Amino acid sequence: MLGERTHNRVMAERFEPSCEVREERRECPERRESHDRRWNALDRNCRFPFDDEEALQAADQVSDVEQKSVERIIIKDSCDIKVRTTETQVAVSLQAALQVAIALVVNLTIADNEQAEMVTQELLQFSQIEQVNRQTVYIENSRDIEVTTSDTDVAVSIQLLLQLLLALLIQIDIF
Amino acid sequence: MGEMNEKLQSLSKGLLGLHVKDVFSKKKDGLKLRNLSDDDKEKIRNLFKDLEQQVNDFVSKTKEKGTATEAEAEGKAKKTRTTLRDRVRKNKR
Repeated sequence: MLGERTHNRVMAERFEPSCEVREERRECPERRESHDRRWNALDRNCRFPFDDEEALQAADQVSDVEQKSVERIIIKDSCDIKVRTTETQVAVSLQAALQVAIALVVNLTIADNEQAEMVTQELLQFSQIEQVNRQTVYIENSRDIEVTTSDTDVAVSIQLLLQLLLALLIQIDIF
Repeated sequence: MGEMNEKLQSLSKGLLGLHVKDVFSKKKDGLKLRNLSDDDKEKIRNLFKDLEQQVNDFVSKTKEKGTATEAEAEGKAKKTRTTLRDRVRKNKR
């Protein structure tokens, strides 16, 4: 019971307490979010609270960035959302190509397979090549939002790999 | 910013060079190195140049897109958004 009351109080803080329907039904407000909101992005006739000549347009946006391999954009109860993402496939391919090139050069240079394997592991491990990006962008009850994601972290990783390859080639007197 | 970027690039190049040298020198006693033919060396050089070109293209594309997006967002924000600071300034006038 205490848990339920706490939950309801937390939910109530998020929405207008004057909503009669919510009080009658006594349900979790999350199921009827669009009804409880003062501003409803999906309703064209609904006036934005700050919408006047000195308008301050704000969008509710929760952005959660983690370091994994999937890009996810969740759009809920919103409209006129533009999403732009850069080409991650090219970045991933480049990264893989550079890793293969490093491994290849090491294997060509070092006659012993075991030693070659060890050297490759040490070189690539130091550069932390395994990091890839995952971004989760959550947009709720918003209008006219533009989302742009970029691969700056991957670009840095690729540049590091290239520098590593160059250093390796200099070490073995190819450059 | 560009200068700082260049300095950092040269710094990371130097550090990586040291690291590679270190990895090779640690195992020096047991490392069996092959002598590559000139033909093989030339192929590897071409491979590196090709990869370098692709990486530079990708990096410059990423930078361009980032700059273009920021400029667009700023322009849009100026047209449609007034910050609290702007409103206070306006009231003062």
